[in-house]
Amino acid sequence: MHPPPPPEERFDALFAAHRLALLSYAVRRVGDPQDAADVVADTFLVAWRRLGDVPPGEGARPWLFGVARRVLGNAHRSEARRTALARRLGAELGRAYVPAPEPPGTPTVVRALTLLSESDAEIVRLLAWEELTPAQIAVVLDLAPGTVRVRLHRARRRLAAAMERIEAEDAEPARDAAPVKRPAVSGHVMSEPARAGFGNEETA
Amino acid sequence: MKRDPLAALRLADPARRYDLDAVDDRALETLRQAITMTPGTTPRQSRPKRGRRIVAVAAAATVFGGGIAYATYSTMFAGGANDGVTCMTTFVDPDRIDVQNNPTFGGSGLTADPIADCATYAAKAAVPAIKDPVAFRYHGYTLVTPASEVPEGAELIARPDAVAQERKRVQWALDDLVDRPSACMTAAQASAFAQFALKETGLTGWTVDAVADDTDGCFFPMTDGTQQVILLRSTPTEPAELPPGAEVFPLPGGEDSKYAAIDAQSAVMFEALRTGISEGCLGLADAERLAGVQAAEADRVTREALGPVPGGTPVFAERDDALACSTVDIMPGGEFVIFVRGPEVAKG
Repeated sequence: MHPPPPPEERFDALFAAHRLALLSYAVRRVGDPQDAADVVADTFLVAWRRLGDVPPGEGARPWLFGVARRVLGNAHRSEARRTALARRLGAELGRAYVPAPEPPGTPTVVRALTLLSESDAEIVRLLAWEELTPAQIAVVLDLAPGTVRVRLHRARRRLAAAMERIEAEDAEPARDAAPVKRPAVSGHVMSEPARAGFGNEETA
Repeated sequence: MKRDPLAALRLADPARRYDLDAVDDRALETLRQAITMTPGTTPRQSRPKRGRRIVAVAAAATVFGGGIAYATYSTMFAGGANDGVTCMTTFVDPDRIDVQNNPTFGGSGLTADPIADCATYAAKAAVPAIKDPVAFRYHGYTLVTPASEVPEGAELIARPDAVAQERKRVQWALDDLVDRPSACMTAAQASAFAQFALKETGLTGWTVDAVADDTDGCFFPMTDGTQQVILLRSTPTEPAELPPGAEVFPLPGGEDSKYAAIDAQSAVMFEALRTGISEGCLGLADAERLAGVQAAEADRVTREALGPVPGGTPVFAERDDALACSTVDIMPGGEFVIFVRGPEVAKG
């Protein structure tokens, strides 16, 4: 029989295993390094306070991303809030930002992503960036795994179609069709709510 | 040209703009330490119960604004007699339960008898009781399954005797958050509280250990493992020593904290139950009704702060006509559990 680990021990292991994944998740979704650090701090704070609810093993990561998603939602709904807990981490993240030459124009895929519904966009982001399985994505988004699979299939198809359309319009900018609205984001962060388009109504 | 959109998306990963490997480990370590120095709160239960005693003390610290060392010294309670019980009709490895489709039920240990607790929880959840139930420890969990489902390696738990049941009842009264005067009791307060708790249970033959630890710190009463004695022990009030360079941040929990509303409502609930039940004299039905109202309000505030949470604040009632007035105990452990016990008709 294995005695239950002390909470600090379990939290330490959780923190060590997922801190970089959560940092990556955060910097992908908010533009300001301090905001990203706040998301990480708030997420781990929830994990500490609800340690008994954190699934063991591989289940922990999607659970943490699910919490981070709600933390982000709160952040988007309220005034920017600075967490003293994450002050130092925010400064470190700022230093870790590597300026790179902007690609010529916003990458097509980034523009195309903004044309999906927010939830569909998040599904493909979680798949491509966080490398989660559909079952894990289901945990993050609180959806049925089957729903995620259906929507993932649909989102990939729509993303590809959107990319083709954008490229076609870029090639023929003077055509009569209404131009695709270009996102205002700089390309390295997609924190703005996605705009609806292409009849991407929610069906699930 | 057809391109794989996911491959394109990976190339556009914003995290590529950050050299996360270069983030100073000390910044992360400082964050980790700062978080673990904060008190835990009451995690709403959605998975098997283990180490619930740890949560109990941490939550008490939160509720009463306790010091930052609670989370550390609460580890001394790990695996104690107040671990909860997880009830299953078909055995599932408790470390592999799908929390989204959790087939188990259960909660805090209500009595010293896990089988009886599962029957109570089954009735509460309106699910069939476990047939031919057997209680056992498995990988640190207290589980109850049908006898045919007991896995290899299980350590069977014998049915508790009357002394064990008494001890559990006393421990409930000692852990109660309603009547506890403070999260950090002096030795005198802890002794008085222990006496009050004993009187509340109506049990006889119990004594409070007069030899209290005389060091500074917060005192708490606990049952002795083998005798009918309540021991008084203290815990340090100073936080654990920090490593060089570590920075101490203010505790979270200001007005903007989503937990502040929960903590504030908890304090309101304790006050309402203390004045309404502990200091009043109600029959069981009235006490249960009052507890139910407070539990519903606690759940509402929690939902508003944290979003939907599984379970809620269960209220259990037990008739005990030997008591003149109803009593109430609240045990934090995964969730708040409210236990009222009393006579059908108050005699006060």
